[in-house]
Amino acid sequence: MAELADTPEFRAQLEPQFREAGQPYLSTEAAGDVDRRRWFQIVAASAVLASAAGCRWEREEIVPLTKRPDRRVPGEPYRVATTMDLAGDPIGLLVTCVDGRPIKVEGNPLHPQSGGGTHVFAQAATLELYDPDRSRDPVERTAQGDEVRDWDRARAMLRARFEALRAAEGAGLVIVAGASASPTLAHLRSQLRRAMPRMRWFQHEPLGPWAQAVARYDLDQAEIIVSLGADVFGVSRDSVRLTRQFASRRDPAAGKMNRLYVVESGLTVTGAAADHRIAIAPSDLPKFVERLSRLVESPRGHGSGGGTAGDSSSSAAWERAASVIADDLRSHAGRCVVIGPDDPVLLPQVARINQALGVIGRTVRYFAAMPDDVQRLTDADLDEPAHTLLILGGNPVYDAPCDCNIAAMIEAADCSIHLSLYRNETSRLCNWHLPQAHFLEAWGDARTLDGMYSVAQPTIEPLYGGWSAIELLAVGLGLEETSGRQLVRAQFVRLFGESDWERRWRKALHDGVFAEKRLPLSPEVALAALASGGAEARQQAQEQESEPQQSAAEHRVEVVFAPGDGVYDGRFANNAWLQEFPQPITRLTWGNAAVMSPASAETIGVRDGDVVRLSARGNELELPVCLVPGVADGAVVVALGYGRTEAGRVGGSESGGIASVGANVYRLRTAEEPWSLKGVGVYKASRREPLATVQDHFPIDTTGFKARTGRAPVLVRQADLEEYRKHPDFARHQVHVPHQESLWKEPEYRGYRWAMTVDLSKCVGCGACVVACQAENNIPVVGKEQVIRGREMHWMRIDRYYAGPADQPVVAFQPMLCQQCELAPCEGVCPVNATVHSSEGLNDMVYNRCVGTRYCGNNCPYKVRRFNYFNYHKHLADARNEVLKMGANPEVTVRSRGVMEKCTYCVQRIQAAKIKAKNAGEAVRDGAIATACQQACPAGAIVFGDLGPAEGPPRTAVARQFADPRTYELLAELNHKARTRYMARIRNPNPSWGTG
Amino acid sequence: MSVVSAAYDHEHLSDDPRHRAPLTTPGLTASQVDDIVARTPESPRAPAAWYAAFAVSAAVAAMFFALIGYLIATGIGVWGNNHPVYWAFDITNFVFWIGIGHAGTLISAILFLFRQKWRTSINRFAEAMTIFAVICALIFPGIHMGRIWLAYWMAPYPNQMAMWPQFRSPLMWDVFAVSTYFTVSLLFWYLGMIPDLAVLRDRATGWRRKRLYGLFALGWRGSARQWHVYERAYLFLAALGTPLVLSVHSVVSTDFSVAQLPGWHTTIFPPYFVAGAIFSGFGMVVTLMVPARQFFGLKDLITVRHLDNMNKVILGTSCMVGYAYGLEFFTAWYSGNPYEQFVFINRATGPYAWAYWTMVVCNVVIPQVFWFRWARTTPWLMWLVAIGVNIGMWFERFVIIVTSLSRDYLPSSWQMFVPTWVDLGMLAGSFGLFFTCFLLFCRYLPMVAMAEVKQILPGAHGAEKH
Repeated sequence: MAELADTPEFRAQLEPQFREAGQPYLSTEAAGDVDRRRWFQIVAASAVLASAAGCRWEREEIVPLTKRPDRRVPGEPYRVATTMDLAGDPIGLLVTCVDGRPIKVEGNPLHPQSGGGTHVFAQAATLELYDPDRSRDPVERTAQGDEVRDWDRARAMLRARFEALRAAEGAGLVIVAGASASPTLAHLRSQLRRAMPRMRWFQHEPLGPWAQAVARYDLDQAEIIVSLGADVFGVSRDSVRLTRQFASRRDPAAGKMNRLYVVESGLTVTGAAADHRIAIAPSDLPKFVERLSRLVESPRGHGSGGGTAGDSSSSAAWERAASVIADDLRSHAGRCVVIGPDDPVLLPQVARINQALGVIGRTVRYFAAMPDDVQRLTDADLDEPAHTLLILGGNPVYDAPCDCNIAAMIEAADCSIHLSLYRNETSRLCNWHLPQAHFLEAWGDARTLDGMYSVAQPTIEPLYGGWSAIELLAVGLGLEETSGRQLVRAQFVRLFGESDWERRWRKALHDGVFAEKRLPLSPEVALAALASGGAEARQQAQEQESEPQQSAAEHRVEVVFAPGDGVYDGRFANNAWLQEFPQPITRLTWGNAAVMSPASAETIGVRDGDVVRLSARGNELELPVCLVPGVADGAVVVALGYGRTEAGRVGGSESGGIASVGANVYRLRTAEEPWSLKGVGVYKASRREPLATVQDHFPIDTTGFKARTGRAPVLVRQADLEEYRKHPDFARHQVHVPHQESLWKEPEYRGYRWAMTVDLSKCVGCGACVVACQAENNIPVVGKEQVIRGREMHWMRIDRYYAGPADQPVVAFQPMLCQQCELAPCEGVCPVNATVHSSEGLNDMVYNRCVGTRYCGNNCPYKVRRFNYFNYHKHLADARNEVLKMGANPEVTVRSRGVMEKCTYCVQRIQAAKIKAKNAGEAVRDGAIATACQQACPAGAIVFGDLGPAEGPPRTAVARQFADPRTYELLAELNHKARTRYMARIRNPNPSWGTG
Repeated sequence: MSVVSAAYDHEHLSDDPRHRAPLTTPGLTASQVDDIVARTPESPRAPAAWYAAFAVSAAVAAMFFALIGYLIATGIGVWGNNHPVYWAFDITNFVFWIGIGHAGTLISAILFLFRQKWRTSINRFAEAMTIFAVICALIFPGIHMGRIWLAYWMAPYPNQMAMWPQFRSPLMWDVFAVSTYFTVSLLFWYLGMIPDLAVLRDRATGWRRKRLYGLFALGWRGSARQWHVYERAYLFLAALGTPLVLSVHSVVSTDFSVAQLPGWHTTIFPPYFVAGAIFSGFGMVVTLMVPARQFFGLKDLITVRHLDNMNKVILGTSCMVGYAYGLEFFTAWYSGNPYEQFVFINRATGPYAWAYWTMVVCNVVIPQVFWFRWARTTPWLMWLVAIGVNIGMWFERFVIIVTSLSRDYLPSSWQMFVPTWVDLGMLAGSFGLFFTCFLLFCRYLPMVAMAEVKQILPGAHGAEKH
């Protein structure tokens, strides 16, 4: 056939048939006279040609490196230390990279802000890096439309503009940037100011700080912690460090437990972790703070009804609470802390309480919220037009308060330039959009408030040649050296001195932090300087609110603005992992809701899932109702960061025809009251909207409600400290487990025995483990509709249970993953042996054997198995999304449609460690393997390892946890012999609570 | 001609055989039996209603196959299944159809061994129903697999992977049980049909019909030796088929009882499911039989007595099923297992309570009307009750599967199941397939076992009366 295919006459006969698809195969005009024999030859040869042309598989060229980089083995992962600066809150990271690209983010144990753990935003960073919707080219808006420009042109434009500005001493230059912890950026700013003294630099950060100071808390020394309107373990500054510090004192066997009081309006993870929690409307919080302040400073002042409005039962209740809290604080003076809200009026009051308790400098320090030469954007006079408006990152058009007309400012500017990752809402209004380099592909640095320096080094060349903010400023300044690396290194030398700088620099790059020398503390704010000047403005604003509105709203509520648990302030709206990340309390994905208490809903006359319209100052938006017990009555909590119109194909894109996810709550938000708004009208819209929750809604039929409430204490076993002291092993006896006889000889484990414990006392429900697992194991995202159907694919989930009355619920979290049962019910029912048990105790899932009968899923009582109901990776076939493939973990199979999957205890990490140990000729050390969830957990709630030999004292960390009396097995009565165990939650309530 | 003399005893309470209600219209001869049964296959045009019904069924069956193609191409996600309800309509339909098949085998095999002569005019019909029901049933465990193209891995064949299936899994037992059931039922049905196909062959006028029926009649001549072999083979297959009635649905029920899900993990399932299968099977038989004997003129052969007997079986199994429902509640309560107790309370009062009560009313309450003779002997009424039984038994499987899965141990994984249009389309489609096959059977094959009916005709064994 080959000779046949090569003859020219034969080719000539073939060509017409291939060229004209519509032509009949044996058209005599095209092919000439073809007799029967010839026809067969042609058919056969064309089949050969088709395969010879290789058109079935794409040609790929693999070009190996001719010179292998130092100590880099192809296919072997290595780690790069870097730092993520999230709105001025730095966290040190170790990024796992393979073949020159980052695939997984871990915390840097050497960095105090991390201690090894991370938050969900760091875990999802790689997906943001590889987001196909990131902008790839500079774009200029011209009269003819949007034109793509090259970088040289952009550079020339910038240089020209800045030269002109330098001549004018910077008059007309306005820079809007987010908060930053970068010393290099600060240095470049001061250089800019020297060159252009009349330049104006505004800071805009939607999630704060809005107060005049930033508090830095240290919970290590705190035995009593009071949190007032601050979700410190949730989306907040220092959340990872504070969670770690809090959790370190929640093990009753490890020393004296701390005690946490939370006073809040919404229900947050911090409130869930509290030993005592009070729900209070935002407008009542100042009264509480005042009361607490008086009680702490002069204890004899307590008694009921201290001149505050009304003596309703709830206010009497919190007055009592305030006195108990004050007593507890006073008896622990010097070893406690009161955490205040990010509020210019309340923060100084809270600071005074802390001062009275003598803890300033020990458990709390107050630092200037912004550098001296920087003003808040919302305080700026935007009427003065700018010649050049440079916006570094962020998205002020979307997330600035509704009374800050940044769009007009952009329009009025002669030339507006936006440096950002995406061509978002702000970029589309600006004249120029410049793609920003992601933090994983750029040089940078950061310092913590207490002086720890860390470096951010790129893990990959900028995918699209973007610039970082420091590089752009360097271009503007006309510096010779504009590479991020040189800038950061020069700043390092400036900070730590010339002597020995090369060694120090290499150490900083290696460790991520430079611990040898601390930088001086950031500028602190003295208490006296914390003027509560905003009080009058606040009162005025509140009075304005209580004026009768034009519209006759039957019901008015206080709206509480909360950061999006996944989308943060909206910047991560296009990050599918974070959109599908279930919010810890509501378990809601892909959207926000009007979260309110059942009592509020009854007052308004709405049910869970009804859509309500919130209206204030002429702006309105619609949100579905989500009932959550424990939210203050009359308050509605809404999450910021949704309703994006130009986020991308995941978060919503008007230009791309993709519907927005959720509703934009920034429309109601003002600069005076960024965290709450009183007097918002609520109207019931006539429609309903499904809530994409991964768990039952709070309201449920009576049968289910009773069962759910009854089971929660059995699943999440809790006890007060006193009960624990009397019966340390209460958790093991809470459910009677009958004697479990085996009908056959059970396997003996002679080698490693992998096991895991999850300490429910330490887990606060932040969810970093969920996103870490998704990143590590290539878990697909399924989208809102599929979540509504109940098909989310998370291998690790954090179940949330309520107990107690609806106005004072006790919230319990339980991370749920495959229990790796020794007698696994799933194994016996698989018809094809696709799920089998390893000799080390793991329940192995064999993806390529699974035929998808799903019997194993039915038989799993924990329901941790996940089935690929569709091909959830179909979008990867699109050429546009090719870049997403770079972020997949090459050690983990990507599962096809029709296959079951589940947690594997990160078997790829176990195997990697075993191979390494075997090559070194030793056993795997305890602590050498960290599963993804364990590594990400800021609280250190997860312990994984080898149980070791069955006889003898426990020798490994997990074996010691297993031996702890607090440890219990979930559903032990089913005789699974689960290798994942839970440690009961111990709470430390105040004995005088409820009796004062 | 279904007038029955008042002297005959409708209640079969008398031991005197002379006073039992007749099994056929009195005075029927063997060739008349042939005429009645062969009328439909031989007529050049079927009744108009047949064409209408066939068009509808064939269209629905075509939709079924189109949906199957869509399912296999797109994924199981086109159904409403989710986490934790991994099985829903797919396995409900599977168990439903398998259950229906049991009536045929009981009538054919068990009643044969018990020498119940009244089975003869309904057994062919019922066995055909079994075959087609099992065909419909077999499709569902096939298509419910996520990777159906690897279904052959469930077969124990030597392969290069050195992998055997996992024999402890009830799904594997299903594979063997249901394939055995299908094979034996098919053989039994076919074997029994051979003399009748020979009759059709002998009566056929066109050469096409003669050849076709002749091919399948396997050269039956009706010699004494052939009859002897035939009777032995028939008995042998009946003996094989009898345990299948009990074992197949017991094995299918172990799909559930072996699992440790509350609401599934109970030893009552095998007998309960078998009783339910017989119950639903007879329900379907009556559903088909009442119109068929009307439209195909079989009232002489399928008399009120047959209907009466079938209704008694329905009543009996309805009581068994009702007893099982009650016993499940008792067992759950007595066990003290809170999860088990909850499952049953949830069935009756939870979000799927509507399905549960439909099941109870259709399965237990309504069939109680069959205590009354007039109900048992009124065709239109029994037809309605039988429809109710079909609906009720479908809901029984739905309730067992979906309510148990949707709310099991951990409340955090509770999730409702909502069927999609594909689920409903496939349910309807399976009926379409069933009826298409069945209508074809009615049109072209002998609906009544002529040979056997002739054996029970009065005068068949030489006596004057009986």
